[in-house]
Amino acid sequence: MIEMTYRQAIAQAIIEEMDRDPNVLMLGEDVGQFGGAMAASKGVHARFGSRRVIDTPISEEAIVGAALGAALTGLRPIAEIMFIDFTACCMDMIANQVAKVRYMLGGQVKVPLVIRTQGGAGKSYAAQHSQSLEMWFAAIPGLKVVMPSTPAEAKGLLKSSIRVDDPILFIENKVLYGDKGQVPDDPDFLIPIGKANVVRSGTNVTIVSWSRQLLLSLKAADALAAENIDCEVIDLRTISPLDMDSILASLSKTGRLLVVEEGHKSFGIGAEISARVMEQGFDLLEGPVQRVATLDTPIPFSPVLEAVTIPNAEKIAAAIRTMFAGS
Amino acid sequence: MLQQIKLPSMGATMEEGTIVSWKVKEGDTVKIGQVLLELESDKSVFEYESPCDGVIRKILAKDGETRPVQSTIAVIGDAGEIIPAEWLIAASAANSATSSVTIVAPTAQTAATTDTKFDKGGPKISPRARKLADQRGVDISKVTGTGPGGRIESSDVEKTLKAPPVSASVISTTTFDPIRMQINRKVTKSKQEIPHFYIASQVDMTRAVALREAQNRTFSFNALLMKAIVAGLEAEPSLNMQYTDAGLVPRNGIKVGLAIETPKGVVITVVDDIYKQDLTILTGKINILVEAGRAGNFKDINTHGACMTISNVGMYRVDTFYPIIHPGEAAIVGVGSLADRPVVIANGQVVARKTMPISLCVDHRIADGAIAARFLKAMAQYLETV
Repeated sequence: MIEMTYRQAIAQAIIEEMDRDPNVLMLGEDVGQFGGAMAASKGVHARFGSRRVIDTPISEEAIVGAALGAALTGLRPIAEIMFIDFTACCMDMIANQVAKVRYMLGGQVKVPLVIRTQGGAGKSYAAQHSQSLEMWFAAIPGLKVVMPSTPAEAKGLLKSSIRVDDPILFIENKVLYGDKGQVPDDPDFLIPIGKANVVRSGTNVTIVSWSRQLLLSLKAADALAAENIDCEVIDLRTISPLDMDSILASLSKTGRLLVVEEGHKSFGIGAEISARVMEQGFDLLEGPVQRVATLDTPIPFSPVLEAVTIPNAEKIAAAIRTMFAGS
Repeated sequence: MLQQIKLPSMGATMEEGTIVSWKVKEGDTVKIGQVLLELESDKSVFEYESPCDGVIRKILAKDGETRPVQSTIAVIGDAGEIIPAEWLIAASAANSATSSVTIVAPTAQTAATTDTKFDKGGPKISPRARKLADQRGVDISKVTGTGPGGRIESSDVEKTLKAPPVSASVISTTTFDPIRMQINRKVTKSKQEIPHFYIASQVDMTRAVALREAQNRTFSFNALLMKAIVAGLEAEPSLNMQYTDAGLVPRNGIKVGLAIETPKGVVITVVDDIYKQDLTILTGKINILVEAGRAGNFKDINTHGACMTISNVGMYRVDTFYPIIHPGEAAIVGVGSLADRPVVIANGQVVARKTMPISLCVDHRIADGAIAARFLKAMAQYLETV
């Protein structure tokens, strides 16, 4: 185990996988000599050079299109889109080409493509640079959506994503890049895609979350422990495919479920989880599934208003309290 | 397979039909074509035949009842198949609809079913608790919900499971012994029939206590209280009456009861000739009767004929309380604890005195408040000047 930051863990995962497999390459805006806008690919260019670490023009469609072509012809590209908000510029490539080409070609090709990007609010980047858009991509069959919350997860999930033969949208979080944590140095440290993780065991209520909100949920759980509310916290890690088995197993113990997400509340991941619980786990419920999510409004530039718009530990704890009598 | 038997339409204008008589009953096995019932439309009476083989599981409309066309009137199927609750709800909803409205269109039944589903009534319960209750056979109408908004949660159902079965506690409490049954009958009769009214006062017992100490406690306060009642009745003889529906009957002499706590419940022993005896002898007489009562020798005591009874719970730190009149008597005296209490004397000074609360519960048919008040005043005067 080595202590490192979230961004260092990502760079390390890329370097290890590029060392391991000469077919792995990287492309994106400023990912090479500059080391990435979020400094998450520092040292990669120095080690592998411009042939395998390609600085591209500012064209998201070109980045994803070129990466798809490379993947179809046998390479394992890692494309970076600087902000998830910019995926709108290459949505045809992602939604209609990347996600569907294996299906359209009857499974004759593989698409071992990782699109790395980052989302989330909390840095006062305003409405066009702060969104949590995982629900857009989770709604597209053919695409896997992975979201790490810690440095160790960032490394283990990215390495697994690079080794998978399906296209993966790998969404990092801009607030977490400086977070430090213990990370295994095993070059084969892998976290399975599609498997959630119970990060805190509890008996009264299940909180399902991911990425930065997972950490805030843990904070809320600590606060609630003092009020004798024992929270089980599940880190989803992979949004799609959704690990309902883990959620239902926890729910069978607690009977209560809160989904915490930084995406907008309406039509969100929480809505999907809630619907699936109705279908698959209705009899487990002690009360209605609750959601804490971002208000249905563009993320404000003002730090004060931004804080009001997005979830935090206090809002999560308050939502949990309403799920119990006498509160 | 379960099948709903619906009231058939025998013409385009037929909206409802009346069941003249069923030819089968629940549990009967029927064959296709067998006559199930006679049905009357606005035009004629006809026989209705079974559309299938099976067992008559449920008949949902009785002879003589009128139901809309297409409402479920019976369920046929194999024995043991579970009948969906909606079928039964639909039938009862259709039933109530016909009883309040003369003409019911066939679609009204569907509407009633839907409404019933939305407005289910009954307790709010979580899906988890409902499942647990179903599995364990718990009647949710007897479960108290402690969740948000009073919702029944699984822990509430579990509490019911842990609680001792209700039937067991019923068995242990229904076995009243004869004495207890008699007490229950009497107190119920008293409260149901006798219009009680209540007055109360506080008596200064300092002098009485001193006298008792001076006489080496050779008399009891109960004996003194009996003497006080005699004094009260001498002042207000109109209380020494027995109520009958025809009118009041004067009593022969003065008898006073004393409520005794026995292992089988409270029993009254009646003491007579009180005025003839001095306090010490009266105390001895009372003690013998009390002992007999406590020992369960009820043959040795007389429970009838008192004008009123003393109920003394002063030893239990009770202040004023209002007992129930023993049927046949005019009143009951409730005696609280004798204790040091602050009393205001002549010049506004507050001093500690030995006082005792006394209440008087009176049958209003025998006496009004003023009579009771004068009685109580005379009684208090006796006690304070003894």
